[in-house]
Amino acid sequence: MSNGKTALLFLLPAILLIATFSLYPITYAFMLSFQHFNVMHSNWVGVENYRRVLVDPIVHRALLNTLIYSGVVVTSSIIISLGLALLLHERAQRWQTTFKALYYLPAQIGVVVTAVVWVYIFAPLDGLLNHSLAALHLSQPLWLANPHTALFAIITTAVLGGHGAGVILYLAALGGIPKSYYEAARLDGSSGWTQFWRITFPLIRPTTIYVLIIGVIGSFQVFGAIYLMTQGGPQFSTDTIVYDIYDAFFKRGEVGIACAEAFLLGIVIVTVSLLQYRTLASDVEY
Amino acid sequence: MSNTKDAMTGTKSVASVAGAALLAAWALVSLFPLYWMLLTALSPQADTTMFPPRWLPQHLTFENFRWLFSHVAMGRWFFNSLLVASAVTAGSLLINTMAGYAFAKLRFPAREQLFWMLLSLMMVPEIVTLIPLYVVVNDLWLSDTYFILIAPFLASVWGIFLIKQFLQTLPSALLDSARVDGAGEWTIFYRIVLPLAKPVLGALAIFTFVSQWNSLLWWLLFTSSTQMRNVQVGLAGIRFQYATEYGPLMAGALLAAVPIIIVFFAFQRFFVRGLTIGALKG
Repeated sequence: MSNGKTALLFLLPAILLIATFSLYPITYAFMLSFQHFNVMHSNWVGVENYRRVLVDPIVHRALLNTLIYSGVVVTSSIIISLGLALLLHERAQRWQTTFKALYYLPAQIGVVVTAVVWVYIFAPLDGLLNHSLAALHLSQPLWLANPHTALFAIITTAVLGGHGAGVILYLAALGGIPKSYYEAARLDGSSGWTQFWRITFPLIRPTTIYVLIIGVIGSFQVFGAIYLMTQGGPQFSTDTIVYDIYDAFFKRGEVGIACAEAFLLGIVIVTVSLLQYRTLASDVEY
Repeated sequence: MSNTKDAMTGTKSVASVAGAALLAAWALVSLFPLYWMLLTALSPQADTTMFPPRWLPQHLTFENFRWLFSHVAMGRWFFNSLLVASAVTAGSLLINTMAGYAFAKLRFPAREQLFWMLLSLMMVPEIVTLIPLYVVVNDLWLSDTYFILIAPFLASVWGIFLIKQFLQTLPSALLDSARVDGAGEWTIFYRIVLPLAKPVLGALAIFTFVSQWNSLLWWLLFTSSTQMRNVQVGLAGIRFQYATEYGPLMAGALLAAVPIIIVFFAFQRFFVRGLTIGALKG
């Protein structure tokens, strides 16, 4: 059997599945994004769907919310996971293993579980938070039902959630930096702060890029937390792009609009990822 | 001289204790919601809505769990979640390993181009593929079937990538000498590649299981009858239909979390390995 034929046999199941459940739907979605589509019939409308998405004030609000959510969540996750990794990395192996597990577990539990627990904590009357505030004679906001606090509340849950993946990746990166670099720096009399910015930070840049890009791709598509905690409300204050697409498609039945918005999201994600890669990437060798 | 040294170790140990305190504090903060869930799930409602809160259970009860099996179909949801997550995990292990092996160790035309094409699919948002599939699935009456919950996840670009990254590091000479000895390609795959790939297979298995168990959006769109929901969509249903039944809601959340906690502690080392293999530049 020739090598090419063998390869084909090994690849065939995966290729067929990916063609059916990824390539075909992506192509179909692209076509749908230029159509006005409903159960009875569909007709081509050119770029009308894209135009309507781009001028829709609700989409603008959703984009702004997504950018705020993503910006705060990704930035804080880099700072927190790098900070925790720096604190951990000089410690004994068994402590590293324990803390890695403790930080990683909450991230694996799943957004639905975390979200419903937070819904309970934020509950206006029965929630732990407002119970505590009432006992302290402080005002008790409605948190998830108040347009001024809802997005902030959801962001808080994401920031407090697990940063385990980041911690693990940063620990691996920190462990890869040769000790001799720091010894040389210490001989030159440079402070810990200088050492961090001159040695550590540049050398762990590939990890930062990875955490950043994965974080942006994930947080731009935030859906579960929004769906469970606020359904985009109140007054669109927590509407995000993916939630808006879900809403357009599933609740308003606007298939073409939803497809156009989904493609625009894809373009934004690819562009932002590539930009981050281009501005931050440089070959690190040591 | 000895004084300054003492002072230095003194500040060092203060910093070290402060660092340890920060590490522990963050762990407590991020685990707190899970503890509050556990406490509420096991307590009568009156116990968890008082101030100051009781941090330890006062009266243990399983009433909240009983509610889940009498008011909603928790048993069935749990079964659905378990069945689909297990089926996807088993199937995707085989299919992704075969493909990853082909990309890592077999030579064929346009190998690199095909691989890059697959990788670029990883950046496409999930929602893009979901909408047209929903349209097709409804036309074919496939909604509410296990097929549409399992089949689309049997191959994953990320899984293929993970396997390829790992298998690339294995020496090709090993496979070549088996070929010289006259071993067939399947024998090589089955007898040599699979046993050597055990660590990465473990990582892929738990990542697949966890992501399937936690799946929400897909089940939200592709199931409509109560009997075909999974634990996650079921929980969402409780949250919206029984808005103030926080006890049962927390009990349900606990049941949704337990399999993940078990898998996590049983296979902890695979999680770490999977993450670091996946992050390799490539």
